[in-house]
Amino acid sequence: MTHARRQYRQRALAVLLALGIAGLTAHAQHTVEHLALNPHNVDGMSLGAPVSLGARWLAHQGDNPAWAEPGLDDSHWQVVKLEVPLARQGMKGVDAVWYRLHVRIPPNARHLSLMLTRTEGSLEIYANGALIGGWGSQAPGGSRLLIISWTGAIPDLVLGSGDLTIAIRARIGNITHGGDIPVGPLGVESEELLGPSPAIRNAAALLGFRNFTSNWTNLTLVLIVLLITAALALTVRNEPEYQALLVALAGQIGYQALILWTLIFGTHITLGYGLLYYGVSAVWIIGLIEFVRLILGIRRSRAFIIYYALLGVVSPLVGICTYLYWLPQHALNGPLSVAASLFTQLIGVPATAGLPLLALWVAWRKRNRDALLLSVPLLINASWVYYSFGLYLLRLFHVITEGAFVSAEYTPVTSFNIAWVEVVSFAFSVALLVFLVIRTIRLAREKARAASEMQAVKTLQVLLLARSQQATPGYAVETVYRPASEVGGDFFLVSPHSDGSIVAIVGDVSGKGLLAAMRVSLILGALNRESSRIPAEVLSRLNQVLLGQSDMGFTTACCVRVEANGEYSFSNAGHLNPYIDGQEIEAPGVLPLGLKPDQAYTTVTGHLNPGQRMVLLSDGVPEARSKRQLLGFDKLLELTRLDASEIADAAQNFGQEDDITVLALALA
Amino acid sequence: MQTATRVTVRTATAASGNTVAVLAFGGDISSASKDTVLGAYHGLNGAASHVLLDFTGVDYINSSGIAIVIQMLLEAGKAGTQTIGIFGLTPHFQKVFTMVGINKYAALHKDEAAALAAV
Repeated sequence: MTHARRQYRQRALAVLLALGIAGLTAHAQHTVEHLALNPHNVDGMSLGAPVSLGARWLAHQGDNPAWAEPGLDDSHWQVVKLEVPLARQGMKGVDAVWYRLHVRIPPNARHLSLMLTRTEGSLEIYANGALIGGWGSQAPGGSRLLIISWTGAIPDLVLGSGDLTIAIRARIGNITHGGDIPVGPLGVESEELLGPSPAIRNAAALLGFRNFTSNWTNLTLVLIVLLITAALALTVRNEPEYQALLVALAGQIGYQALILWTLIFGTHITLGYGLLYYGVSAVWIIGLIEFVRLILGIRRSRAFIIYYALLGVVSPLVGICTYLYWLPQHALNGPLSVAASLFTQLIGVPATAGLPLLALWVAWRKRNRDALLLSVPLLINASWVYYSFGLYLLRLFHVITEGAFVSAEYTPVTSFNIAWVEVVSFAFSVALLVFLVIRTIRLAREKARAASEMQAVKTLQVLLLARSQQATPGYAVETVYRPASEVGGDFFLVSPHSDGSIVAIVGDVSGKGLLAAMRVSLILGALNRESSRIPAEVLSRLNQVLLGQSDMGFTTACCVRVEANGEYSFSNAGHLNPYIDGQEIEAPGVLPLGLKPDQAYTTVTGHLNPGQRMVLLSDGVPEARSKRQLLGFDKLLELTRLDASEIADAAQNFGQEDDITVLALALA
Repeated sequence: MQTATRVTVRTATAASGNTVAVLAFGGDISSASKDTVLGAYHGLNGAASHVLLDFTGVDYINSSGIAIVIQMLLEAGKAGTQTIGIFGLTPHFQKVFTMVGINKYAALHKDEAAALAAV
C-alpha cells in the first residue's frame, strides 16, 4: 500500500524511485500491522474474525512443487521478515521463492478463506497441499503482475486436522529482490488474513469500497476542476493559462484513472504501462508549471525548456530504466540506485516544492494578488512533498524504520486509515477550485470596470471628434469615421476661419484601445489650442507635443489648408497623401510625429477648382484586407472619386482591419 | 486574423566582400511583434556593421509594425555604426515605407541580390 503512496509522492516530486510503480497499490489500502508471529506455529484457534498471519514467514529460494505439501520438513527454512528486502536477508538473485506458514486452527473449523493484499509477481497459493488460487506464469522471470486484493476459499476437505499449512509459490523476476524498498510477492505493504469466509468477504469488500471511494472521490473532484477549467479556456481564449491548466488536469485525471484501474483490476507492469504512467505524470507536472508560470507572468526562458525536457524525458527515462532493471542485478542496492533516486528526486523537487516559494516571492516583489492566491493550493501540494521528502531522507539514512515510514504516510484520525496523500490531493483540488473561482470573479469585475472606462473614453472621443466637425461655410465637407474597435486611433479635425480659409487634418495613432484613445485625446486637445493655420507649423508644434512619447506608438498626420479661392497647401508627416479627383498629390516622405525633434515638414501647394474634391484618408482604407489581400493604393485612384461614405463602405466591405477615416472637401 | 511573426537570422556575403547579417521576417508584423523583431535585432549585439532586413516572407505590416521598424532604424542611426538595407517589400509596403520616410534611414531594394550589390 505504501508503495502506491510512495509513487504518488514520487509523482508529486517527480520522484521516480527505483521501484516506484509497485507503489501504485498503496494509494488506498490500510496500514498493515505485521505481527512478529512464529511462522512454525501461528495461533489461529480463535477464528471468529479474520486473523493476520503476521510478518514472519518461512522462505526458501528455488522452486519445487513438492514444497506445497503440508508434511514437508521445512524446519531448516529461513524465517524472513516481510518488511525487509529478501536481498538483505541473504537471498541474492532470487527469481523463484516459496513461502510457508503453519497455522493451528480448531479441528472443526470449516468454511475458511484466505485473503492476500498487495502482491507482486506470479503466485500460486496452496492450503494443506491443495491449490486454492494463483495467477501469472511460473516460467523463469514470472509475470510482472500487481494484485491489490485476492481472496480464496479453502476447501473443507483439506481441513479437519487442526493444522493448516499455507504455501505460496512465487516467481518474482528480478524486480523484487534487489530494491532498496521491500517489494515482493509478500512485502511490507501486503496483508495476509485467514478467517471465516463471510468475514473475509466482508474484509475484501470493505477494502474494495475503501479503495474505490477514496480514489473515485479525488478523480471526480479533479474532473470537476477540469470541466470548470475547460469552460474558462473556451470562454477566455486569449488567456493561455487556462489551456495549460487544462493540459495539466488531463494528465492528473489520466494518473488518477490509472491508479483507480490498478486498484480495481490489478495490472501487468509492462514497459507500455511504465511509459503511460510516467507520461501522464510528466504531462501533469509540466502543465502545472506552465500554468503557474503564466499566472505569475514569468517569461518562458530557455531554462524552462531545459527543465521541461528533464522532467518530461530524462527523468522518466531514468525511472523506467531503473524500474525495468536494465541496470546490473543488485545494483539497486548500491550507490547507483541511491544516485538514480536522488537524481530523479532533485529534478522533481523544484517542480512542486519550489512553486509555492516562487509564487510567494512574486506576490511579495510584484504585489501580485494572483500569485498570493495561487500560493495556497501550491503550498498544500508542497506540504506533502516537504513531509514525504523528509520521511524519505529519514528512511534513507535509517533514522526511521520502514514500518515507521509506512505508518507516517497515514493520518491517525480514523480507523479507515486515510493516507495523507489522499487528503492533500483532495485539499489541493479544492484550493485550486477556490483559486479559479476567486480569480475569475476578480477578472470579470476588472473587465467590467475596464469596459466601463472604455465606454467613457469612447464617449469622450466621440464628443471630441464631434467638435472637430464644425460648420464649414463656403465648403462642402464630408467626414466618415469608423473605428475598428470600441475606441480607435484615427482622428480628424476641420477648422474654418473667418478669413474664408479652412484647415483640415486627418491622422492616425498606431495601436488601438485605451492607449491610442488617450493619445488621440491629447492630440485633439493640442490641435484645438493651436493658433497657427499653416500646415507645416501645425505639424511641427504637434511633433513637439508628441516628442518623448514614442513608447505610446507613433502618429501620422496630413494637414491641409484651403483658401476661399481654392489655393491649397498641405504638409505630411508619414501619412497618406491627399487625392484630388482620383489623383494622388505627392509629398516627400517624412517620419511620423514625435520621433525626431528637429523634423522639417515640406509644404506642397496647388489649386482646388470648383467641382473638384480633395480626399484625405487613413490607412484603414488601402489596408483593408480580404483573404490576406490588401485593398491597395491602386484602387484608391478609383475609390477617391466616390463620396466619403462610399469610400468607407467599400473599404469596410472589402475587410476592415483598422480604423477607417475619410474626409472629403470641396468648394461649395 | 494575424499570423505570428517569425525571424531567422543568417549571414550573407555582399558583392564588396563584406559579411552582412540578414534578419528575415515572416508572417505579420504588428504591435505583438515588438519583442520578436527588436529581440532579433538586439541579438546581433551591434556586431554586424551591415544589416539587411528581409521582408520577403511578410504578409502584412500594420502601423504598429512600421513603428517597430522605425524604432529599430532610429536605434541604428543613434549608434551610427551600422548601415541597414531593406528588401523583399511588396509594392504596397514599398510605398508605405517611403511615405513614412523610412527610405531616408535605410535603402529600399527590390531583392537580396540588389541589396547585397549595394553594400
